[in-house]
Amino acid sequence: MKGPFLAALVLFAITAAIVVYKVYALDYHMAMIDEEPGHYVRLVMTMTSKSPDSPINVHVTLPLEDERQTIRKEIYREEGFVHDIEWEDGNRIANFRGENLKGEQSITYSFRAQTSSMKFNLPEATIIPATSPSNLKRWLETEEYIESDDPAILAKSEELMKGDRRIKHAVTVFYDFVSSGVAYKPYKGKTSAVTALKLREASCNGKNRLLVALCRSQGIPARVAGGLVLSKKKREEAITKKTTHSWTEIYINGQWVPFCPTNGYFAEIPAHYLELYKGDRAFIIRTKNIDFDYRWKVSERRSSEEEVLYTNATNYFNILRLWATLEQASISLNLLVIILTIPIGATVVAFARNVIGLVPFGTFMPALIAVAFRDTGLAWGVILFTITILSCGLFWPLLEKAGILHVPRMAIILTLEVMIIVGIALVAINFGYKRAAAISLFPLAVLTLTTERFVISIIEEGWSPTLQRFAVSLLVATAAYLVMRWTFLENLIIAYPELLLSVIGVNLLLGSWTGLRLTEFIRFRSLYLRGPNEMSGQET
Amino acid sequence: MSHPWKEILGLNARNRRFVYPSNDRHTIRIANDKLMARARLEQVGIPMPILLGRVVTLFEIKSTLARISNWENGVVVKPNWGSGGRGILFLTSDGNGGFVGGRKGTMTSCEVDRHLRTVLSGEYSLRSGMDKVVIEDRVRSHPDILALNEDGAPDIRVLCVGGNPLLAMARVPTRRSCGKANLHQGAIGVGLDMQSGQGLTATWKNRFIDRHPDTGLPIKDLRIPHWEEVLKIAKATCAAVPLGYAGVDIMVDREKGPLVLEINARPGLAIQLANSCPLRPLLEVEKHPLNGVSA
Repeated sequence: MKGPFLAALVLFAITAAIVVYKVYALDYHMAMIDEEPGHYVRLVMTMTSKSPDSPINVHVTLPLEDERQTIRKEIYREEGFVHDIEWEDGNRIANFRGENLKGEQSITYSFRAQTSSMKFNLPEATIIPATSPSNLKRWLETEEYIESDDPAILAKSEELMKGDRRIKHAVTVFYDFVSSGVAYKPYKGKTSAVTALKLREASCNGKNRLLVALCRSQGIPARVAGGLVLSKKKREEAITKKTTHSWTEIYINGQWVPFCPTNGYFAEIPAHYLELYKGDRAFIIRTKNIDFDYRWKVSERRSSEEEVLYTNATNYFNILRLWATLEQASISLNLLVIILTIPIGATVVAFARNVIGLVPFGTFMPALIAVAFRDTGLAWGVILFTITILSCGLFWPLLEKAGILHVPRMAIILTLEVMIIVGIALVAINFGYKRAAAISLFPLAVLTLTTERFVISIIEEGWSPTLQRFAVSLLVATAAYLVMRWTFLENLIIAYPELLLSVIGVNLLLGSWTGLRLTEFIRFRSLYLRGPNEMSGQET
Repeated sequence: MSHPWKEILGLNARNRRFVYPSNDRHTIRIANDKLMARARLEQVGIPMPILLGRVVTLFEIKSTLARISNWENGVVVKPNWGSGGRGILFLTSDGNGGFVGGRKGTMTSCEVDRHLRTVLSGEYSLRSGMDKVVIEDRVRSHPDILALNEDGAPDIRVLCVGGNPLLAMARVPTRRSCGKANLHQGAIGVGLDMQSGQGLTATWKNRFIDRHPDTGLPIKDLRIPHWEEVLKIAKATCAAVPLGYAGVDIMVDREKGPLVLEINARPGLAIQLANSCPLRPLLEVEKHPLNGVSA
């Protein structure tokens, strides 16, 4: 009696051990579906001190929150360091400080970001204001690399404006000039606004500085802003990058309006720009006496189920790199998910039978039916199954009268069934219900198997028990479907395939359980509710 | 007096603690095979209905049809590996090549032929592949056993545990069951006193009754004739086909007395309802080698 329990416990323990190891020791995270799309972002900084006696200081600008950007769940891993946060120039800066550190150190800062795009409408007639609020003086000043008081800049801005002092006009002509009139050339060094103007080519930083300089020269507050570009490319592993991107923000009519002359965004900012800092600065500043490197790791959490599934499946720590390996044999991710969730569906069926007492056709037919429902969806699946099988059942009396032998009789039923399916598909497509026409091999096979059992049951037991059993089959199939298609579970099993060991454990427990089934409670209720002294009287 | 629900034996417990540990595979196979079981039982002289014939190949169908046409009494056609009454046909020759019986009431020789072929094809078989057909003489029930209902043919199910009869119930047909002694199809299950064979309580559609639903006769009117003989052959059957947890189906013929029909390796649980007696206390009290440990 004890054997299965112990075995189950061992299996649960092994699963737990593997999962715990992955999560805590290997820092493995399962990607999750969110209601809204978002990103899980990590900044990993590694450094080795060249003079262990002097302290290490690292200053990192942290992402800000505004109407289009939400930052949640900030986590710091900073062994050996302490940090405090201060505000400077509109930036939120984390100052990490560590002393007496030998060897390689690392600081990890991670957060969840949700960004959306934003577009701005610029006022048509507003003139550039003569004065600006005092808190914006900072963004009108000339800087080392943004030489807004340089005569060349001033001259160019006048030339572009042609006397029209409307702010929208000014910003438009400056932007057009910087984006089209100045070529993009990635530089490693720092290009100032004047240099960009002279050479008519610059990196994105240079372009921004020029745009900012032009604006400031005309009394329009402007600044550089920068951050991470979250890739729009679909099928990629956790993106690792180093380079950040910058753009321009111009103060118009009480708002900071974004512009990106490099990538062509005028008065708008796309969802995949994650803002990290404002002003012309590097987002990391650190003490000089260290070997320093950093990396961004971004993993997408899109609301698309496929994306999340993909992320989980391709994570490096996924055991045996399961899908990464299988993909080489052209096994699609969808197929792998089905394969991994079938044991779960089977467990649902086992539970339905042994605990609830629902007995469907076939042993695991409902689990297969549940898989067949994936193409059509639950509602259409049930409808189609029912229509097709009942129609075949209705043909049955005719065939019975014909008095022919069993197996060819079944072949006729199946032929009729195929005709019905194709007919339904044609009708459905004509009425625009494309999903109802999702016929593929596997559902067809399951359908024909179920029909065979259905018809045999009519022969052996009659219509009434058959219909009951069919309803039970659909009920259990629905339950299996809902469990197997529970997105959280799909991701869980793809991220932790070792959970299959626990599925074995669960079934060991289920198979050891000798309690009464729910249907038995109902069936034997007269035994435990009232004794034979209270009779129901003669029934006719 | 009602019983705590924990005492009721459910399928999970029956299978795990009694059927699987007490019944070994090989013996179950014999029990499921009507012809093999019959061979065992006849070897030790246990009375059974006359075997009129068997059909193993298609070629034998014709001669078998001839034989049952000439048999004056009724016959029962059974699949060798069938269970639960599926595929069973009660027929009586009408003397003109046709038969009385079947779902419609009459059957032509052709229809019977087809049924035989269907059984042979394995449609009602527990196993895959071809089946055999068993043809037996129809038992004519003892009048005492028809005390509750003149129509139909009742049988007795004796639950034997560790080779000893533990509980018994009589399955009496009703109009609703179309003359069949099948509880799921509407027959009543009458719990029997193990000493006397007298009807005590009964169940119909999972409820207690004290009268037959069609005739209104009280359950206590039923008293199984030759009761000691019934118990004796039940016990002998379990010795010949050694199953530790089994149901022996017996009918009482008006001339020949109790006859064994078959032995079941997975007897159902309705016997608890028929006797208004949950099984667990009975199974656990007697310190059977079955209890929790394999026999």
